[in-house]
Amino acid sequence: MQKNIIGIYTDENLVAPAIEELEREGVKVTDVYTPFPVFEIIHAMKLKSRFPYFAFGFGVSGFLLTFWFLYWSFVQSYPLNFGGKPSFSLSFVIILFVMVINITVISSLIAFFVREKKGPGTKAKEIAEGVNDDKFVLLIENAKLDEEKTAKVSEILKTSGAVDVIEKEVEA
Amino acid sequence: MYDAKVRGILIEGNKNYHQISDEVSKPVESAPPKWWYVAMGIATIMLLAGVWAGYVTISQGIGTWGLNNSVAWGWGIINFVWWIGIGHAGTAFSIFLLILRQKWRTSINRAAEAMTVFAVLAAGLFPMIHMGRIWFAFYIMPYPNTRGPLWVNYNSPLFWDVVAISTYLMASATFWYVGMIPDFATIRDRAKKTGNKIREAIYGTLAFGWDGSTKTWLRFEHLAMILGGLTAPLVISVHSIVAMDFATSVMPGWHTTIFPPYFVIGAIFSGFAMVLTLMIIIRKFYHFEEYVTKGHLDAIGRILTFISLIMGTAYLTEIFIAWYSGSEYEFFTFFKNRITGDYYWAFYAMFISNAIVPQLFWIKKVRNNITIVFIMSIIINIGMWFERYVIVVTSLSKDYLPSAWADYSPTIVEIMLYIGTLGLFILGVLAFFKYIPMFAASEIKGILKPTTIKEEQNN
Repeated sequence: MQKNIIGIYTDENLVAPAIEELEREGVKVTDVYTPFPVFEIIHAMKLKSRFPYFAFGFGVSGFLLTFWFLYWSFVQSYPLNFGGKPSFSLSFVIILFVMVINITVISSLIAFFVREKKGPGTKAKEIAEGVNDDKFVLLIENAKLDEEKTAKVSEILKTSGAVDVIEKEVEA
Repeated sequence: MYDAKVRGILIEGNKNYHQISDEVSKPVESAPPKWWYVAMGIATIMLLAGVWAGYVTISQGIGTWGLNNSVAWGWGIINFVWWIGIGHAGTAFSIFLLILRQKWRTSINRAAEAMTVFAVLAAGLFPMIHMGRIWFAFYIMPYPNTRGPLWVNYNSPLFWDVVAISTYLMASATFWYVGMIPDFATIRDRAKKTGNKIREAIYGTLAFGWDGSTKTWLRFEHLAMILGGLTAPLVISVHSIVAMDFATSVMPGWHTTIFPPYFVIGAIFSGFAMVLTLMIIIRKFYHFEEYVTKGHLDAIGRILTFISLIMGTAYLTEIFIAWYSGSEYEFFTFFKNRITGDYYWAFYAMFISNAIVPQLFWIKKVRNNITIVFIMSIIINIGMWFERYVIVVTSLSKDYLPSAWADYSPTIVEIMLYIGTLGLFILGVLAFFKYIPMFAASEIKGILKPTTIKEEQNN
């Protein structure tokens, strides 16, 4: 039998110690739902993101793509003579600068929403009421716990300051 | 979280998280006040006047403007640069302060970014209309075509403008929108609770299924830093490029290397002034005194004083270099056609409003008097308009060839076009007041408890 256990807090400072306590008991917290980013919680859950590396990659690709296009269109495809000035010139730098930013911004946005599976019309996960208002909701999903352990987890959540603890049995 | 000993309390009134959700969502959830409808009506009439002027310009041509062979750029470019300048504040404000980790930005960033988007939209209209044949506007895009294929000129600052401004509009609009998603989710949840189906559906769609997961928040924070970090250099480049529209020409008074930094700082200056105007309106009419505190206005006042000193230095440097360079044309433009001559009134309007009046902000009493601060913010906006007027009209009206000298005054069409963009901007800002949470509630919640107070509680 598997269980979803939800602990609801009203003070963000109580959540991180609870996560650490549960970790010591060998229980993994699936996620915490909060009205604003709480760095202590991110730290306690040992979350890391590779997003900045991806963004760097987008920037490099944007640079190469733009440079290729500028070079092809202006030097190879139809080189125009502007008062004898070179076709392949320093003014590429300005367009490159702006287009690298342009492409990285668009790609990062797409990457974020694809990775998060979010977009217009996506239904929000309903964990508990007030997540986007003033509640900090700790979720342990599909925990394979026996009754003794479940009681222990509830105990930890309550003593750590959760105002409410909800247990839900779910199909495996 | 931030150190309260340095900055003081950012949000007054000892609020809890739920109160912030309530207060920030209130204007969205309740009917707008009477003045809002009145202002909407006036703004619509202004916009219609602009639509009429646009129609006249497009159907009859640029001949309906007061331009002539010498003064080939008039109110069109003046207003374009003025709007672009105002459009710099939002991003400058929000992103520079984000990167510098200035937590007091949270009360102001949303409105500043909104203003940016509408100001850039208003700015973008001018080059489009000024083309004359607006139906050929797509020629400015580099695409494979049957005319050669003839590509656009990548050496032209006018094309750099196209790239930079469209990128800027896209980047600042998406940065603004991404920041709003958590607050849309708050409104969606509140609508669900009260059973307002329409509002729930609209804000549910806008919220992109936001659920407040910590994993999402982590990526969201990274995304915000990436967008912010990328848009900050864009702020510099956009207005540098606008400056190069002028500086790469050989007109006396324009052909100077000081132009890019001088334009960037001027843009930030006018934008901050407009932010100040807007924040005072929000504070006064929506009673958000506890969110936009006197401390916030004080901080903006200090920044304006500092920037105003740079502006003054730039003006004086230009005049000094015109003399020191030994170029007689430069000397003529600055000494015979700006500080004296036909357009001296525009020069002194600019100099007094931008370099002298803001010096009053040195006095604490002035910074604390909201009425005076409001009037001063308007004066700076007018002064910055005159700056562009001085740059454009004085240089063009008297060029190298005295027989080609000409005067310039705008026609009713140009004036109405400007009023139309003002209407567009005001309409946008009013819609923002009503339909979008004016403060970044999720960010405000994050700075509600200063670290110092928390430490005191723990001890």
